[in-house]
Amino acid sequence: MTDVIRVFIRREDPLAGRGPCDQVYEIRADRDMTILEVLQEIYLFLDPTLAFRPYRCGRRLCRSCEVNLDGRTVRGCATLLHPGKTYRLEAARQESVIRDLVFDFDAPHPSATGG
Amino acid sequence: MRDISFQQTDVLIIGGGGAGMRAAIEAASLGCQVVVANKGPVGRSGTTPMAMEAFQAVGFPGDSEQIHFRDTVEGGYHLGDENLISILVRDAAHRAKDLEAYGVRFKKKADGAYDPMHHPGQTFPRALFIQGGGFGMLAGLIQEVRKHPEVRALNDVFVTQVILDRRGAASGAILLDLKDGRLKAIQSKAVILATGGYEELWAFNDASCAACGDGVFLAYEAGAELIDLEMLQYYPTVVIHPPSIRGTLFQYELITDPEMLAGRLVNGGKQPFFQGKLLRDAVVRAIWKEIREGRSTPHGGVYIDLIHSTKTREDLTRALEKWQPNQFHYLRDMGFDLRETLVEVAPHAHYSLGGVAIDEEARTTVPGLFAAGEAAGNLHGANRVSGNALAETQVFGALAGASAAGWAKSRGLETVPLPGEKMEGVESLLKAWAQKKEKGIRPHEVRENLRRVMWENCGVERDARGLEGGMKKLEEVEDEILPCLTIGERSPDGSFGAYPQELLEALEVRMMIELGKLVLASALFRKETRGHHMRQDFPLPSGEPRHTLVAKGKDPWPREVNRSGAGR
Repeated sequence: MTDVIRVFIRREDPLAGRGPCDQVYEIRADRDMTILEVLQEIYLFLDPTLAFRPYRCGRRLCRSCEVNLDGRTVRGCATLLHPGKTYRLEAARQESVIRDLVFDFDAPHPSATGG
Repeated sequence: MRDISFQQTDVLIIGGGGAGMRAAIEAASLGCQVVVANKGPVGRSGTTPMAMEAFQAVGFPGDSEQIHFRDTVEGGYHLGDENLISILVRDAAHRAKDLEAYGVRFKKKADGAYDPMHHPGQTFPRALFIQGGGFGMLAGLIQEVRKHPEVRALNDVFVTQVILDRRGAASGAILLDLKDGRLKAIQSKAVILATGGYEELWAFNDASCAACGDGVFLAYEAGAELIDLEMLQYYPTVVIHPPSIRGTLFQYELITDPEMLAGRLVNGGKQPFFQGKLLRDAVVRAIWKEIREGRSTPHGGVYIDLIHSTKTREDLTRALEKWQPNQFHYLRDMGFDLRETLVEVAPHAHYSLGGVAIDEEARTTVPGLFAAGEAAGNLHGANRVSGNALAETQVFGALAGASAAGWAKSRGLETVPLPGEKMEGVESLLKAWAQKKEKGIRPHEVRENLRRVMWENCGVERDARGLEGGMKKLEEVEDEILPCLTIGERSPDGSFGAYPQELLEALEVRMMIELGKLVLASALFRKETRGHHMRQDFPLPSGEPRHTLVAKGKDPWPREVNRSGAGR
């Protein structure tokens, strides 16, 4: 049964002085999709300007795809979004956004554990 | 878009994975200033964090360096450079000790001895188990690097070109800083390539999306010799369905081992189709036969079957927790409990056996340019035995760091500052891509096209017709499609802005097309079947194995394999 996964994404480009503002995207889906899959679909078919880190270590370890989903930090590779539902995504570290969902791992961060 | 205020350092290392970080530690310990340029965030990108737990080193009673040497030579079907293999087996255990000193944890027995796995191709159990796999190993290396203020890591930078000085020696690089979308330059006395492999050229791979062969391309453009590019290792059991977990590797070595998971691989008809402890290429061949002859699963693979494990559920759970905990938990949380569900898997491109040709000091054929880890090409031969990849990163990373440090100390920095025109080539490329075009093609479309061609024409099984057809298709892509590349958004000042992902993809795909052609040419040149290079039109090995060499402006040529290994 095909339905829509709707995501509001906080867009921001601090270097260019753009944003922040929310943009909404809808993906048709007949199954649960990971956040990474949804972002990839948006990037490929809806909006080439959306920035996120597409890397996936395959074992839910590296946290490069960390993102804030409805107020909590989750891993994009291992968090499923369900058709028929609406979500909000923003960068996991607001204080060091490079662009959109991509943040700077080099920037000092209170909860940084390293490696 | 140019930032002419370049940096200077003694040793520039391109790639911050296992080999690059080990090289950084070594060069810094020898008193060098080091810059590590990494395409993503160090520790959270590239291939090393995806590596399984095995680090091959001698330690088991009765085992020896000579036996490790023999296993590696034979496992590689006698195409591995025996001088390099001698170094690998000589140094692997020492580098494992280094890792322990950096805080990396290995699985140990109660008495403190290593508790190695016994993988196919190892006469004795020799696969030391790193807690957390490549990710855990890299975490330890990062901790160690932090103790060296001489090392500066640059995250999120893509190197477009290695710069040569007037005498043809590597002396820096031009890079695109993804944080602000600007071109920058680094001047150095030596350059180490530690960028990993080129598996991303194939549609089905279990590697990082960043494994585009950056270092191999950079070496080629700088004039270095590349070796055995046709030798791509496939991994037999990578998840193909559902898409949310596609590309996840599950270790086949554990599945069928009665001491480990005691399960089996079955075909679409739920029938087992091979027995025993086979090397990777043999299992790939067995699976491919099932697929080709129509006995595949609904999505074109075979099943991992732990439902019929001969272990009790409790023992199986314990074994999964012990030997494959991350994979087990990840798949279970994504809805696939291996104790209750069959999982569809198929062979995927896994490791680049070929790459940049190096010598016993990790030197390439370009002065001042070194290579280590998967980016280098003549160590393993036609197949890689499990555990030799992480060992390779540490042994040859350290070696490259020491060699580069020695070279850097023997020369000064170029007194002439880096001329701006070195950047002109890449600048004009970017300008062309930035122009609005009537029928613009996005980089990812070209990339998918290339990946399909490589999988269909230069995949698990190959023949001259397919390879020649693939070459024709890639030439068409290069001539007709590449000029139509277009990149979405730019900033008003002409730069591409922060994190220009499409620009990165365009730079990558340009490089991947060039490498794809070199792989096809090398695969055509090797008119035999050996290890993972399976030619349907030449189904047998052909006499004494020889390397395939390629370099800019030259057709492929053969070279004898070094046989002077001390371990023989």
